[in-house]
Amino acid sequence: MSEGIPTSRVALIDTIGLRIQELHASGKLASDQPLLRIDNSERARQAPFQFDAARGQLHRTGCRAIPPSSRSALYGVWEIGTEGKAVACPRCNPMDKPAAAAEPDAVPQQKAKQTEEARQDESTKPEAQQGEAKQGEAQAKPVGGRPQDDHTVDMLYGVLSIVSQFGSVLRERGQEYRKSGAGAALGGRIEKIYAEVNESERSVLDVLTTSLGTLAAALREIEGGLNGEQTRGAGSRSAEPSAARPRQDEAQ
Amino acid sequence: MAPLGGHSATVGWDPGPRTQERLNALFKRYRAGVGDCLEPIVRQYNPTMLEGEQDEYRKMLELSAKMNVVGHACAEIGGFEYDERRHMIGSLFGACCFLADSFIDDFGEEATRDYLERLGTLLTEGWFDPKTERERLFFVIAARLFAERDVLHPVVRQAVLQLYMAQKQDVELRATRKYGRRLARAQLNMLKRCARNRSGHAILVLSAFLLPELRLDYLARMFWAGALIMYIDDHGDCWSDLKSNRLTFMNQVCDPERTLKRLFHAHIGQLASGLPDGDGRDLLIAFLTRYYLTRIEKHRQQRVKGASPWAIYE
Repeated sequence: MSEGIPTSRVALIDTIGLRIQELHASGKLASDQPLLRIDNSERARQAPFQFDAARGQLHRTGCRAIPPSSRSALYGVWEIGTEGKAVACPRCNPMDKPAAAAEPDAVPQQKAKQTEEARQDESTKPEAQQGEAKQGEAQAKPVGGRPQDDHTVDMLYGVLSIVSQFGSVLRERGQEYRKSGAGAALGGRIEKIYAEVNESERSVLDVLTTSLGTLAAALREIEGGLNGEQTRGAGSRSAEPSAARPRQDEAQ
Repeated sequence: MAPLGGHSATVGWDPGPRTQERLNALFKRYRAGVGDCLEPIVRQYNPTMLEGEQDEYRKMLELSAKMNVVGHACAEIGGFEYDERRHMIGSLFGACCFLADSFIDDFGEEATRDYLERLGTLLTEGWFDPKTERERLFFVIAARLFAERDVLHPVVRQAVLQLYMAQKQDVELRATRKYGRRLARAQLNMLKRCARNRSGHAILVLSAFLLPELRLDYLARMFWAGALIMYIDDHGDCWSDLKSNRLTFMNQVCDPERTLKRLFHAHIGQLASGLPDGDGRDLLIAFLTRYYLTRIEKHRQQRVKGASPWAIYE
C-alpha cells in the first residue's frame, strides 16, 4: 500500500483481506475467535494517567478535577513525555512521582515501529521500501549449510516476517485466545508441552498457528480461483466447504 | 474560488496573503490529485459510483481534498513533510469518512443501526463481512488505511474508538425530538459535546495516521481545531439537517451565527497562541477561516434556496 509497493501486491492484499472476511461470513473458519481487536477502551480507562483532550490537561486516573464534560474526550496515557509538565493537572500532579503503570497494548512493537518511522521520515523513505530493503538483505545473506535446508530456512524467514509484521496483532490474539474456552481447554496440554518456554512466547505460539491457518485458508481460496476452481462471489454465503480444498483446521 | 483576504475580525492572527495563496495552491493540487488514489479503488470495488453524474464520487473527492489540506497542516505542525504517502493517507481517510457518513445518513434508520452494530464488531473483533459493493469499498479503504500505521498503537486505537462512540451518540441524539419545546440547557450542552467529539476525535484519527507520535499538547490543540470544524460544518448543513429531523447544537442555538462567531474566535485564538509558529499553523488557521466564511455563506444561501443533498461547496 505504501509508496513503492506495486499495485498488484496491493490488490492481492485487498483480496486476502476480503477473502478472510468472506471465509468468516460463510462459517468456514474453524473458530469464531476475534481477528483483531482495536477497541482498548477498558485498558485505556485503567491507564495510570488520563489526558483530557478537551481541556488539554493531564491527570492521574481518578482525579476529581476531571470535569464530567471531558469524560468522552479522555485518552489513557501510560508514559508521560517531556511535554507532560506543561499540561499537568495542578491538583493531582501526575509529574510528581511515577504511578504504577500497567503496560499499554502493543508497546514494544509500537515503539520499535515508531522509532523506525521517525528515522524513515527524516530520510523521507517509505516504510515499505525499508521493509523491502530488509527483506533483500535477508535474501542476500548466505544461508550456509546444505542446499536442501534452503526450503526450511525460507519457511522460517516467512514465519518470522509474518511475526514481525503482525507482531502486535498476534500478541493481542494470544491474549484473546487464552481467555476463550478453546484456549482454556488447551491450556493444560500447552503448559505441559511448552514447560520450557516462558509464558509470553507460549501465547504467541498459540495464536500464530491460528493466524497462519486463517491466512493459509484465504490463500488456498485465492489459489483455487487462479487455478480455475470455482470460487464464491462476494455476495455468496455458501456454508458448505469445497471438497476440493481442505478445511482450515485440517491444514494446521 | 478567489482568495477571501483578511476578514475584518481576524486581523490579529490573519496569516496573510502568502498563506492564502498557499491554501489556494494546495486545494488546487489536492482536488486534482485525490482521484489518482481513489479512482482505481472505486472502479474496482464499487464501479457504480462512477456511473452517470458521479455526484457521490465528486463529493467524496471534494471531502478527500479538504482532508488532505487539513492533513497537510497537521503534518507540518507535527514537524513532518506532507509527502506522497501522507497524501495517500489523507485521501483514504477522506474517502473512509465519506463512506461512513453515507452509511449513517443515506440509507434509512435500519441501515444506520446495522452499520453501527457492524462497525462495532469490526472494532472489537475485526470482522465486518462486507455484503455490498459499497461495503467492500469501505472495507478495502479502511484496511489500506489501517495498513499504514500500527493500528494497535494506543493513541490510534483510542482515537478510532472515541470517534466511533461519538458517531454512535450522534445517531442516538437524532432521535431526541423537541416537539416544539426548547431544549433544556443540559440537552444543548450534550449536543455541543457530541459535535466537539465527532470532529475532535476525527482529526486525531487523521493525525495519528499521519504522524508517528502525537505529543499531548498537540493532541489538545488539534482536538480544538477538529471541534471547530464540526461547529462550522453543522452551521453550513443547518437546513439540510433540519430537513432530515437531525438535531445539532448549531441548529438548536438561538442565534447560530453569533454563537459560531464566538466559538470561531475563541478556538482560533487558542490555536494561534498554542500552536508552534510556522507554516503548518498558518495553513490550519487559513483553512479554518475560509471554511468558516464559506459555511456562513452556505448557510445563508440554503436558507433562501433550500438544501440540495448533492450541492458541492468549496
